[in-house]
Amino acid sequence: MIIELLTSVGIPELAAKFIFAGAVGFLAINFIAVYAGVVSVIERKVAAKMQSRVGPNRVGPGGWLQWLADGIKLMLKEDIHPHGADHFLFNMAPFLIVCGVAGAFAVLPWGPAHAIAADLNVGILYFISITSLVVVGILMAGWSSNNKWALIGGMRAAAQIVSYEIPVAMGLLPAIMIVGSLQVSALTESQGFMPWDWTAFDNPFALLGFLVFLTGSVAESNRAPFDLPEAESELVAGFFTEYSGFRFACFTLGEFAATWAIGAITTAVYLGGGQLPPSMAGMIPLSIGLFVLKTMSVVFLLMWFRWTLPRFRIDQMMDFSWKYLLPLSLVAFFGQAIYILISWDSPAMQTIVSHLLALAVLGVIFLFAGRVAYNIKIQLIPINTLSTEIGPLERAGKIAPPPAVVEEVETAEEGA
Amino acid sequence: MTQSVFFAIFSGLTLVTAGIVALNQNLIRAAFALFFCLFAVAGVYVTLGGDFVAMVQLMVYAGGVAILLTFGAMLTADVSQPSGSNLNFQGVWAMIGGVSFFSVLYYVLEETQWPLKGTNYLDPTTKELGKLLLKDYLLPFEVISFLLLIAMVGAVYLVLKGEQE
Repeated sequence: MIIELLTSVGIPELAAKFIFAGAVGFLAINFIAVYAGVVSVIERKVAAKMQSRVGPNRVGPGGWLQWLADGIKLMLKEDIHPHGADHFLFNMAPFLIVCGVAGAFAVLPWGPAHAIAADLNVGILYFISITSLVVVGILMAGWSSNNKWALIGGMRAAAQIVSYEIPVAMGLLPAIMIVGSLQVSALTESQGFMPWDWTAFDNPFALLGFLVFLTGSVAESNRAPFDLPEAESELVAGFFTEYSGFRFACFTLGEFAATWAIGAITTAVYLGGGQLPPSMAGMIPLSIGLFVLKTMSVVFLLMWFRWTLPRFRIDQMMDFSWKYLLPLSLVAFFGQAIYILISWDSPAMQTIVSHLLALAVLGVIFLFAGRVAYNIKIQLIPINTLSTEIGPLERAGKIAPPPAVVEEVETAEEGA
Repeated sequence: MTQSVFFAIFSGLTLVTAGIVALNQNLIRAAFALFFCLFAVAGVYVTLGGDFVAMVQLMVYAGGVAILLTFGAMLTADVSQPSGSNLNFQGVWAMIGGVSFFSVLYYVLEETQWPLKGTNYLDPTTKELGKLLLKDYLLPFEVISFLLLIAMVGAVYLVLKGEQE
């Protein structure tokens, strides 16, 4: 559409295509940069809540502009090259990592099923295979830094990503088999608004595939509990130990952008994408909102993993991929094939299975939420409800300062 | 037109990186150049309309083979300063080998009926590939997969044998 508009003005077709591609790329890169910044603050806030801390609260209202300060600081820092490093490869590595992550954004949907920058008919394969650029970037960073911690980190990262690529790809197979297409828009379009119309709850094997895919994706993006390549207590900072300034920022940027990529592809393939009920079809802003909500829920899940689970040991990490995730993904694959054979002629069976499964999963989620709410309620000291700062109103004497912690404990004990 | 431009870019990148692989003294740099060479070949496939083949090339060769090769090169001692040069020409034998290999390639190039570039070059190829693999060429497909299974079991057996000793 935009290409046709440009050619009608008199711009040659080739130039128009390049302008269009450049504009889409520019938007995607800027989205990545801003998203990575904002989500880094969100992640630190979430981590603080989970560890009963305050978190960033100095820059801007409630600390929400911390990412701008971080970004400016990183851009102004000196770009250091270690002595004996391979300068060419050292400079190239962060570039490759950003390329690999940004490349994945070409096939991510943005709400409605067809709102994709490049709706390739092998889109999902492209998404899986473009991560090889990230692996090469990590290996390059690890080797060219001339530092043994960086080298070990790089080797670990490459081994980990290559191992977990298999369960991730296999975990997507049930969805591909249900829909019969590798196109991301087709995978989204085959689903509906209600949970029982989602691919994840189509049958138990699809749910298994979804869980394997999600777990493998966490490992592939090098996030905790699989953050062995950058394990601070063992390897300083892993493969980017020697990086400083904006090159360091590129690694962090890639890591945070990967969370969005994982969330978006999980949402599009398994969790119904931005599909609206038939009565609301065509409402694009609503669809985008729904999609972003689902994606951010998956991103929150990734943060939850990161701040509540301890780190794996290197052998446990390898065992987990080859001895548990890979067989489970094979079970999902074969089970899905058999389920398709059995339920081919009976839409009634498909409906019953998907509804029961969706209700069961929702039931488990509500049970969990209720249990958590109960646990919080029976606490003697309410978690995270104590105000740790004296606000401007309290300082001016307009309202009473929060009661001290000791008093709170006593009153709670009396109440109990 | 767009196709031709990108074909030129990717084939140029393939040639340059292949040259680096052959001529560079630094093994690690050669290994990384090999990755880019395989990556650019995937780009060439895309411009010729082989979408599925391109993605498999990217996943298997660029994402698997090249990375494992780099991985292996990193474990080699003195990888950046090898003692022997890779620029020594083997004289007559290299000449014979090169000329005979090139003449075979040239013969294939001349004799094959190449399909001409169609208009709808971005039609999905996955459906056709699936039909061919599971209907016309089912037996070769199964035999090859069985061969790969044997290779995998053999590799596991060799590793287990090595661990027990």
